Amino acid sequence: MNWISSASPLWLGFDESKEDDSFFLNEAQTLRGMLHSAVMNPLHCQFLLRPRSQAGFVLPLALTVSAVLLLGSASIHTLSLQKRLRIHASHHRQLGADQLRSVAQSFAVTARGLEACLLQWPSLDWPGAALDCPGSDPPKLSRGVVGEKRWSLLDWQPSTDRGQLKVQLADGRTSSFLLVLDPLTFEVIEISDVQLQARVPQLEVE
Amino acid sequence: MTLLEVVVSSVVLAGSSSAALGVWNQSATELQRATKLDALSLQLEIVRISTDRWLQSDAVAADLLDSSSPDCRFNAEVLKAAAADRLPLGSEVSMHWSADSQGLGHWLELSATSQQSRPPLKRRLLFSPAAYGLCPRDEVG
Repeated sequence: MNWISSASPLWLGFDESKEDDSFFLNEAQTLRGMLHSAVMNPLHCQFLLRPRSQAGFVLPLALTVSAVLLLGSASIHTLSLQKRLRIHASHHRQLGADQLRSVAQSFAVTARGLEACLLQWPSLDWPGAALDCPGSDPPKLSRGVVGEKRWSLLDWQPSTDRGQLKVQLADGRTSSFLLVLDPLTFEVIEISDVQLQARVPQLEVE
Repeated sequence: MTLLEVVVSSVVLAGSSSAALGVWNQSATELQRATKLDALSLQLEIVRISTDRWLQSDAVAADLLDSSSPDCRFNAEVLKAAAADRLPLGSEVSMHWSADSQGLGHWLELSATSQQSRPPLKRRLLFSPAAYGLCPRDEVG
């Protein structure tokens, strides 16, 4: 291959007609000799020494198209994974809401009979209200276990014929419910749907 | 443009096209699976809401309760039959009722299975007659 020897010095930035460039010309010829004997990638040299006007456009085009294809498919894949993650997160949230709904059902069962009397007062007043509700046991309404998961009462605020129940699971998930009460017996007769709230730091369940 | 350049470009383009096609195919499958999961999850939610509305409605008769039990609780057999009759279950959704070990009520376990959803989607909720005002008031002491 003698393609390197036929390369014009102009491509390397020299003009053989000028004496000032003689030093650089000698250097270039020396370099030519070195290139002949050097173990260099011929393909690399070919691209290096070929004029820009003759440089191929196919490889850059192929690289660009490849990059666009790969980036596009990566974006689509990310979107599909995001959708799957969103569905799993939604299902996980529904499972948590189911546990809290079950706690509200359990509260309604426990708040029957003697304990129903306590529902007339806010939960903070239950220790004192127990005197007005003989036989009632406030701790029965304050915590429990439903489906092997512990829960605790955060707050109970009654109004005329309903009350706001706020409960928390042992893992910190919290929700509130609106409970409709029987005006005569103060038993729960209806529970609103769960109102999920931000997870708060786990409270100590005694 | 040389022959070598064309060959290298072709190899690069063929490789990237093949890889992109594979990823696109996988993404399409993933999207189809996610859409199916979403539909199944919606079916389970519809059954849950329907169960809740059904127990709230006036159509629920007192014969759902177990008259032989001193506590106010559902009659398991009647509850299962009535729920299967009233609730809109799709072909991919199944329900199972079981009594709570503490006597708090009955657990409804909903399960949705399809080829795209492994393991099956599940929901589990406690239902008690006391929460719907179904218990006789005169039982209260």
